[in-house]
Amino acid sequence: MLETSVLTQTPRLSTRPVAVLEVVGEIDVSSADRLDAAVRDVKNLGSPFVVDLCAVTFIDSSGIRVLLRNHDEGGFVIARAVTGNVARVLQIVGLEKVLDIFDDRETALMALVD
Amino acid sequence: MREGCPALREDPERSATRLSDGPADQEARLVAAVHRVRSGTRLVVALVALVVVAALGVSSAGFVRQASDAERAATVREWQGEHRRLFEESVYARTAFRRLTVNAPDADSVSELRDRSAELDRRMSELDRLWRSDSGLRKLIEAEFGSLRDWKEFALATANGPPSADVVRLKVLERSDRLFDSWITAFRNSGDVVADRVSGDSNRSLRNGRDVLIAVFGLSVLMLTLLLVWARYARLRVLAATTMLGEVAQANQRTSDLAALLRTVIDGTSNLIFAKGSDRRYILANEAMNRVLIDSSRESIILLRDDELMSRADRDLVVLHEDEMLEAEVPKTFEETLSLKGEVRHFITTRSPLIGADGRTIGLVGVATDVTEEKVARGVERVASALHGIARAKTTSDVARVFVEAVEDALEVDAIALWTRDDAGTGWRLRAEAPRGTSVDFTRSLPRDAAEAFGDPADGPRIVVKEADRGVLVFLVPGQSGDVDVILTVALSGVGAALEAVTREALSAACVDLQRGLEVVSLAEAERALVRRMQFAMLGNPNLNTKSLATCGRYIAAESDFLVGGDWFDVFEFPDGRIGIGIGDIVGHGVDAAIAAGQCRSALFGSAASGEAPDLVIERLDRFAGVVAEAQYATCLYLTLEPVTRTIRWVRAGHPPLLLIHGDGRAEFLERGGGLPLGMPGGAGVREIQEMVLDPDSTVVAFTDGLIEDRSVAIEARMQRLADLVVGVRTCDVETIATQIAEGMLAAGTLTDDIAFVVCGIGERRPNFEWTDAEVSRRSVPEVRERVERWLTESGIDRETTSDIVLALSEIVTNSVEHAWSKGTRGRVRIYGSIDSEHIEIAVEDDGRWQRRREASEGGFGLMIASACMNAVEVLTSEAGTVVKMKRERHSERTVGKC
Repeated sequence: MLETSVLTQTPRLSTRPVAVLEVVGEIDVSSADRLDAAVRDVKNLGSPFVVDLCAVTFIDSSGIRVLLRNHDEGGFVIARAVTGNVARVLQIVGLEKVLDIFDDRETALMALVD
Repeated sequence: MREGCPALREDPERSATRLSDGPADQEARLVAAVHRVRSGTRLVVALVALVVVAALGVSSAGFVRQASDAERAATVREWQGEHRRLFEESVYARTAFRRLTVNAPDADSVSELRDRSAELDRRMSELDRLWRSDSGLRKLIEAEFGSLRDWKEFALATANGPPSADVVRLKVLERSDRLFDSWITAFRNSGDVVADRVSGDSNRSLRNGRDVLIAVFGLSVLMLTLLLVWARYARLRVLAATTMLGEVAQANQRTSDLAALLRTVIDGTSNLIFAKGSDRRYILANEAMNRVLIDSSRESIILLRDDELMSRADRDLVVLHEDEMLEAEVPKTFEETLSLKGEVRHFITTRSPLIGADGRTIGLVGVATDVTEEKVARGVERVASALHGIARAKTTSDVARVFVEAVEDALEVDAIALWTRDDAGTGWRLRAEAPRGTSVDFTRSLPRDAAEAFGDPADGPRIVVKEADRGVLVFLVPGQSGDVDVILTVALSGVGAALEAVTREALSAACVDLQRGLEVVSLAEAERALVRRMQFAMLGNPNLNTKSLATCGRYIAAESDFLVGGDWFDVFEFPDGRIGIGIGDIVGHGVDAAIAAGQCRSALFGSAASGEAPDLVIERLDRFAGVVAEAQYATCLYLTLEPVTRTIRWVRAGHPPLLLIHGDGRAEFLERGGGLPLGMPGGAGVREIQEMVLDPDSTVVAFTDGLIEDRSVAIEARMQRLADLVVGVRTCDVETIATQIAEGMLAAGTLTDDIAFVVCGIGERRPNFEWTDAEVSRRSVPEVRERVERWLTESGIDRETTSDIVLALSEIVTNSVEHAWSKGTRGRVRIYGSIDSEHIEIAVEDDGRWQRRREASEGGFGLMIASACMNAVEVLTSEAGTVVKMKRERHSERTVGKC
């Protein structure tokens, strides 16, 4: 079960709106393709964006692979909740050192302003 | 006279003998005389005639010397009286002949005629006796018929050369009497006698119409005498009479001996020998032929035709064969089946044309062999030999099948089916048929009592359906109770009667075998059913379920019931919490073995009830087996288990070893301490008690040898298979293990013996996880996660551990889904997991080839994540597919998570 939605948000202290890809549900082999498509759609907007995984309850290597593939091209940061297994998986594969990961969406948005 | 009749001097003794011959001979004489007979028969005629002439020729030398005038006068009176009677008889004979020959011949008249003729002959022989006793009489007769003196010369003068002996030629020069005329006509119409009237011109010695010349060639003197007597009464003047037999007899003396010999020969054989004239009347038949064709009320078939002896259809068949042979004019042999005297008989008949002196075919001769007995015997024998299999049949169905196949094989039946009562006893059930699917189920409409439909079985088989060329024979086979238990239906077609007779005969005999076979198996079946019931009644309850252990027993009966009995087990709990498990196997099968098994079980329980150590219990059981014959050499295993210390102690008495599945999933047979079977001298001394402390979550399986014995496979291989089946299986669910063992071992081979085993699992019972998808897809992955998560949560596994295991599982299943099969194909994934006090194990099994290289090239995160989440991940790849076994300690710290 995976749902994605894109919204535009202007961070505080900034006038430039940022796209936010909001992901809800589980990311696994059955939903990774949809996540991949959603991320590409957001990227095509041409602006920096945030992938918000705070509402993701499960992620496994299929989801990690999507994130890594799209990160190579740069331009986004990830927000993730401490709950769920996202933090655990990112930690296992050591992605915290590679990607820009923040604990919530606000922090991630702020990071983009900088 | 004496000079003129040389034949008269020939051997009067012999003639006397001949004249006192039985009626058959007399009949032959008479019949032969009035018919144109050929070959052997004519010789008989000649012979008989000769003999009578010889009788007449008794020497007259003693006439004057030996008898007074008064005596002579009395004798002559007597003779006159006698020959008057003879005359009357002759009139009768004439009438009879006329009836015989002018009207359609009927058997009764022929027989009547024969009887009369026999009587006539008898009287004539009395007359002969008188003649012989007084030669004065002879003189008297000579005086009466004085003109006969020159009979010989006359005959020679009037006959053109020696007469043909097979033609009775009656020459009547003149006649004036209607009686004589009709007689001649009768002879003539019979077609066998030629009576010629010689015109007065041809012989000047005839003076007026009342003079008659009778010349009889080949006719018996009896007939001649009759003629003469008649002529006298008719006031004819007999000019001369002759049988011309002097020469004929001389000429045929040798052949007549030969004829007698021939007659003896043909009557002595069991073959049927016959000859028929051109009108298809029998002109010759030996005794065997007579016996087969007519009953004892008639003596001979001579002069009869086939349509008086057999049915129209059979007659037509015979005529057809005769015509075929006569047309071809060569001997022909046919196999013929005729219904004679109400009985179907089989013959092999060879017929040849009978060629007359002029080269024309004048009839036929035949030799037939009655092969009825042989044919029936062959059928019976064939069926009997095919029925040998019945003795080996074990069930009613077996018997039915063997029987039906045997009959179909041995007899020329179209189809055969065997019906027995159905289980309810209210209807009929098809047990066997051949060929398959050919039986018409007419039994559906049958009443319960088959005898109602078909009558008393004792009356034998009957035809229920009879069409032109097809019939269904029904045999009712009564069972022990006398009721009809089996209905046999046999469809026949083709030659009908022949086949039917053989089939009836052969099947009636076979039904006896069938009956016996069914009785045997029904007894055996009843016994087996009883034994089976006893067997189960005597087994203990093997299912225990306590907080710390669980047991589960299985008793699987062999497919067939023949090896029933002998295995037993029992499980009981002692007050101190220990449990005892006993299992054993009696030598042999059947009722005795079942009883002995029950006895052993009781004896074991009695011995063990107060909680003694296994060695003591087995020792007592050993003594028991020493006195109970059926229990001798029985094997047994007794085991006690202390759940708290997980200590097992056991003794084996010649029994297969325990199978132990360790807590970590290793499986081994505890081969220690084999010991001897029960009741063997010295056995007690060599059995040793064994003791072992088990791992937590171990499983012990005690079984009988049925589980590991398979005729086609070495016992080691079966044991290995058993061990393989349980390797890795966790103890949590003894039911699951028992099922797995039973199914696995049954799948591996035919069950030839009963199987009994008890599974005992130590440790808390937790449910195992099991999930299989035959066509796994990406969509399966979330479902698997959800199920495993629920299983772990319900089993009390903490959230963190659950989360890790679910993640690891997701990775492994994803690997299978993505890489196990080539694109576009799907395969089977099975996931199974178990939890014990310390570990959680879960395995993912697929039937594809895991392409690890590809997986690695895409990052290899899957295995990495799984390894991080679990304490151990093992990937086993084989031709059959890939198994990933993962293990997680229940209380371990997260290895990476804490970093």
